[in-house]
Amino acid sequence: MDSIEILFRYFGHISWQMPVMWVIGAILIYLAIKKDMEPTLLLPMGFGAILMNLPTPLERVDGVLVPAEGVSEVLETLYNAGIANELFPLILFIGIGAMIDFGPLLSNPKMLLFGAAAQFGIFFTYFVASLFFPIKDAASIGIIGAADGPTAIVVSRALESNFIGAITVAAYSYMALVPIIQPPVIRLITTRKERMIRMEYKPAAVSKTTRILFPIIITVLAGLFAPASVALVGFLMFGNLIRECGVLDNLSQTAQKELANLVTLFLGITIAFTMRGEKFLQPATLLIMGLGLFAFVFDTVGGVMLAKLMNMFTKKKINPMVGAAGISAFPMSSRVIHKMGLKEDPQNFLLMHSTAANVSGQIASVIAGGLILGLVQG
Amino acid sequence: MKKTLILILTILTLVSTLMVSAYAVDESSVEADLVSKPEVGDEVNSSTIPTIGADTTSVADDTSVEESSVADSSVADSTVAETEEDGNIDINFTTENMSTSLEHMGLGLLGVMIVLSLIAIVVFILNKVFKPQA
Repeated sequence: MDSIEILFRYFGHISWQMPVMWVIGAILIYLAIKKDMEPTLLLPMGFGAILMNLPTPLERVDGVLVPAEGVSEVLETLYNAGIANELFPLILFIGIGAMIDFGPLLSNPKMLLFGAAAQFGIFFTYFVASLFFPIKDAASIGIIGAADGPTAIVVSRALESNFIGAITVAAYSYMALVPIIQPPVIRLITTRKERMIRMEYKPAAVSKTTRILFPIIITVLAGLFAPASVALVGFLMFGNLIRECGVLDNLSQTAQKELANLVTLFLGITIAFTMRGEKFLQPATLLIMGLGLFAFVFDTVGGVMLAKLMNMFTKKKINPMVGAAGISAFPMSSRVIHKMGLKEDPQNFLLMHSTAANVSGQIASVIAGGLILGLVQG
Repeated sequence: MKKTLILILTILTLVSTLMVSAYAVDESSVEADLVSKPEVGDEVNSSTIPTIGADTTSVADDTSVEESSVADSSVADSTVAETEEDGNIDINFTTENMSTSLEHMGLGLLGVMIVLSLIAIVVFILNKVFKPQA
């Protein structure tokens, strides 16, 4: 009889939060596999959410049953080694930097302004969130609008937010949901005539020297204006320098593939360490999810509105939809805008313009993250 | 078109830089006020300033200081533990942080605009200086 009890003793340790987290984990896995939404991160996070919400094994010490080391200790070790010190997201940035071609942006530098405008959602959400949360948590929630998972992790970790799990899940989920979130917002704030504006694309050739100097100068500028962003910008630009220098092709390929894949593999499952049911299942999580969506919506609004503003002063009109591509969700956002342009006018090719705005969003979001850190930490 | 753009960017950058500089000067003056400068004739508290060759063992041996700090940390730990044990964090509507976050919002947006505008100007100059070889 005792043996039977031993076999089933852990069933009594199942709290109500555990099955709920299993369902959440299953949903994340479903979205990753069936809907192809950021599978590289949502799948490990989903599995990790299940892993983290299983009963803790017990061991007998001096005749008393005490919790033994379980899988959560392994994940905690990974968490301390890679997330608590922000190592994993930063290393991932080397890979992302090596993947990005800044060419379209360098040939049309005014697109950088859209990257800046499309960070409006971050700061507006920070303001709104501060009405409900302490400053550090509000700033971490606002950074969901960076549409950039590693930046969200670094900022919320550096600010020691209580909601790092929910923030990361929101950041990655909404990144994957860009094709669903952006089109209705854009349609709501633009007219059909505006969406049909054609933009000529005359790619100006960019010299190799410019391509090499660009990452170095950006790092220096970021260091001067937002020193807190130097780690993020520096690793991103280091990756890009490896790509553009032309003498480190092997390293560039490794950074883009093996390094990025390896870090992503650990990042997703390690983030799940913060998804313990007792901490994750709170009314605050629901509010954070709502504010994350709010941030993405107002990022889109910010970009579109700047394009409209610029159209008031320039002769060559800009399609306002391109402004919405200024968010950091690369390359989803630029593809969405391109498709929307083609839907309105099959001869309107906005891909290169939206790609330029999109890569500028990558830089802007990282700088915005650094600025938030600097402002909040004082 | 390019001239207009450069003009807008330059004006924007200048105005933003001026505003941020004004803010920075304002902040540094507040900090300067907080750290009161010793004036000529003021007695300097020598116990707070370590000097070269000074005997520091007395500080290390001062167990009462250590004990009190341990006691403090235990209080802090228990507070953290209680918060972590609770898990739940209350959400209350409060306008207490509104002015700070509003200020951060303005400065943050301004900061991003300044940095990105500067980058745009730098890229424009780089493109002018380093023409691609045919």
